[in-house]
Amino acid sequence: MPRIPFDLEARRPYLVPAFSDAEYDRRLAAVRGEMSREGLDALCVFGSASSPSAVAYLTNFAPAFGSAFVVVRQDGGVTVTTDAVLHGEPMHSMIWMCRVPDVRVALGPVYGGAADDVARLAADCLDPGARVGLVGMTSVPLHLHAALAARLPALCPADHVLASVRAVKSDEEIAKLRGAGWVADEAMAAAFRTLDVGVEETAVAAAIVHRIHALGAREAFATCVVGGVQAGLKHGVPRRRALEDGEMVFLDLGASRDGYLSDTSRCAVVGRPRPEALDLLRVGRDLYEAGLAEIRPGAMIDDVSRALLRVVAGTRYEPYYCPGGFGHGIGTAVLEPPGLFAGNMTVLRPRMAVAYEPMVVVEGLGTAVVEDTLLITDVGYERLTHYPVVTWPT
Amino acid sequence: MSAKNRPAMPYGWGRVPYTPEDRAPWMNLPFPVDEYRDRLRRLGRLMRQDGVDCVVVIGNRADATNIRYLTNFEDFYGGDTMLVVPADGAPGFTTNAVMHGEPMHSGIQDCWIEDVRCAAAPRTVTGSASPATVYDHVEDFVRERGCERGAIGVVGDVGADRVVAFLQETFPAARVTAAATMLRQMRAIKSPREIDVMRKACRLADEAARAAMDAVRPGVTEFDLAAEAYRAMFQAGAEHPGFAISLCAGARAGFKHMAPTAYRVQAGDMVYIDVGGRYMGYYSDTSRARVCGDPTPEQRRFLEAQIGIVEEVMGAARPGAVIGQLATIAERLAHDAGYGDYLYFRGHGVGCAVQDLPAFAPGNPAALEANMVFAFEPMLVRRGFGTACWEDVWRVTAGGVERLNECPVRWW
Repeated sequence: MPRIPFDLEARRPYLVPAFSDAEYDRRLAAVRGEMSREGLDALCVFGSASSPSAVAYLTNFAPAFGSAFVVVRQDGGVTVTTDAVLHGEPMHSMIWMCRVPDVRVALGPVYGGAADDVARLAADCLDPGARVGLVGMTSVPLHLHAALAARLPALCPADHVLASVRAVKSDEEIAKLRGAGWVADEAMAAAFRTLDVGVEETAVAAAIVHRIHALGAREAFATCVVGGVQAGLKHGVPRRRALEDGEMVFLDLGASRDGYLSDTSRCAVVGRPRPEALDLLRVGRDLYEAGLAEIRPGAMIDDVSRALLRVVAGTRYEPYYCPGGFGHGIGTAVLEPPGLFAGNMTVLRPRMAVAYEPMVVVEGLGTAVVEDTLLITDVGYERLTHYPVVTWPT
Repeated sequence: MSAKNRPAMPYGWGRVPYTPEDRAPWMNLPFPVDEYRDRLRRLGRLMRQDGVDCVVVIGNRADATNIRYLTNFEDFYGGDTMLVVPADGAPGFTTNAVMHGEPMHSGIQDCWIEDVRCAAAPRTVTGSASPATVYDHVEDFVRERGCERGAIGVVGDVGADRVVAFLQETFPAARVTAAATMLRQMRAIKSPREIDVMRKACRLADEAARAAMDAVRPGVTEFDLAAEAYRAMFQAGAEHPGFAISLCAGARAGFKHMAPTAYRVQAGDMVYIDVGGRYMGYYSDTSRARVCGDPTPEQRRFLEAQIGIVEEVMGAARPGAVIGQLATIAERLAHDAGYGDYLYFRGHGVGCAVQDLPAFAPGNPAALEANMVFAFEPMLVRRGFGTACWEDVWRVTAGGVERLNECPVRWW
């Protein structure tokens, strides 16, 4: 068993909550409100390193390995169970992030426990007859689901219960998104200070990642720096390959600040641009501006798509424009609803955050895309990333 | 290519072709294709041993490493990917990790499998057309390979229950079973080509650890040190960080895994880093500790004691060495130094995932085998004082072990 105490008093010197107590209280109250509407006695929320955000949303604890459950009971109690314990020590394994007093630890198979102990502990704090909703149906491992279901016959899927609470971003969350946007702007500026003929793609990526971490954030996703003909396939990993005179470059980066994310892209030419590259970049800007003019609460995503299609209709770029995706919702995951694509009749609403990225991708030449993270406001939108749109000589 | 006569993709999707010929000029593989064919042959032998006619290997956000191991496809999007491997015959690959409908903009060019059939990402398609899903493609793959009445194993953990249920419902005459661990033992033993790539992955961690340790001085923040580590690691060619960096100083260093903060390092603080990078799909994992300024005699004794444990245990490591017995060597040394209460005997295989077999833990009866590659980190973690942990990656050779890292061990 753990040698180092991990009760709330032991955690407190290291615990830096991302949000105010009032914000966490508001979330729990909203969750309990949804639970009572659904007739649930308790909610069991799953999290792991690949999907930590639901657990972090309720507890400030983002599992970095192993598994965790948050049990929210209608009667008021909250319990966290986790087997995210490296070498048996919760305090060596990020539990100091957790603001919930009641933490119960399972040791996992390497340290003499059973693989499903973390689920058993969660079930143990509930009455077997309780009507319990499970959040995380698509990410909970099979053996943990089986252990819960065996002990809680009335277990039912309940992803929608938490999703409906999380869909509307609070003022504190919006402030985090703005912070993530600012870090991305700074990283983009660092990239453009580095970008030049003869510089390796990996050196540009290094400048980006250095800036993100120096500002106390993390990468939201794998940073993309792609130059040369490969830029005509858009996404790729940075390579140890020097950029050549006249090449197009595609940059895509984002920051995570306390789990809240930004996503921004710019394209550019290093050295002396060829006319066809400049022309492509201008189309990217025209698309960006045409769609932006349609973005406001009440607009359908397909309205924006139609405005974008009008820009390329009948031009030589029409075959290279990608109507199948010009952005995505963003928040605590890079890809959240709503998807921005042709035919999506979803209506934009205030407090939605989207990464907006209409793109033209020409194999053999390059990519033109201006991507910014946008917050839908009561009257229009607010740009959460602000790097200049025009990155080429005019 | 369509499944069950459904359109493969709606209008505006998949306009950039991705046949093997289209992918070949862009394909960036860490090895010749022979290496992958050899892995499939080894998997085929395991399947015949277990009486399995066909396996379906799944990859998703929770675990994409088996897919990268067998196909070199890296999912940047967090979709569902499945590889159908018959005991005899060609494999089939499907994924819906497809950004804006273009597989060639989503990394499919790095997948060497010839028979690739992509599907639209869920919730990104509307309208009357119902494009084929990854499940439809898997159904076709299994049928075309004549395995619909055979024994089908599903390799994977998260999401495997859904795939098992789907296959059993679709092929009532088949025997469908979960085979979650089939690839784990195979992945634990590395080929010579893999070891070369692992060496390069270890260089990334070397550069990162060295940059951070060199930058330690009074007044520098933990954020700054993490940033220096990552700049060096990406400059050296990292694809992506292997895991969230741990960087902590002062009293925080007494808990080992602490995310960096704005804390400013002070003279006399112990500073700890745990960092790794991914290179061509392979991971590294390295830790270093030092003192800001000159260590006190006790800090030095603490750091040297841990180095002594690593040296002595690695001196005894060789094919056939039992992990639990190696742990007792470490326990004796720590106890004799007066640090028994601070020792955590830990280590783990590393390769296409940061945490693989073998698992170093006291009492583990498993034995080392030649060409296992592992990160070894028997740590001394002392609350309020600091962490001593020299962690590097080692390979089991014919008669001992070889260190794959080159970064210095001492900053005092």
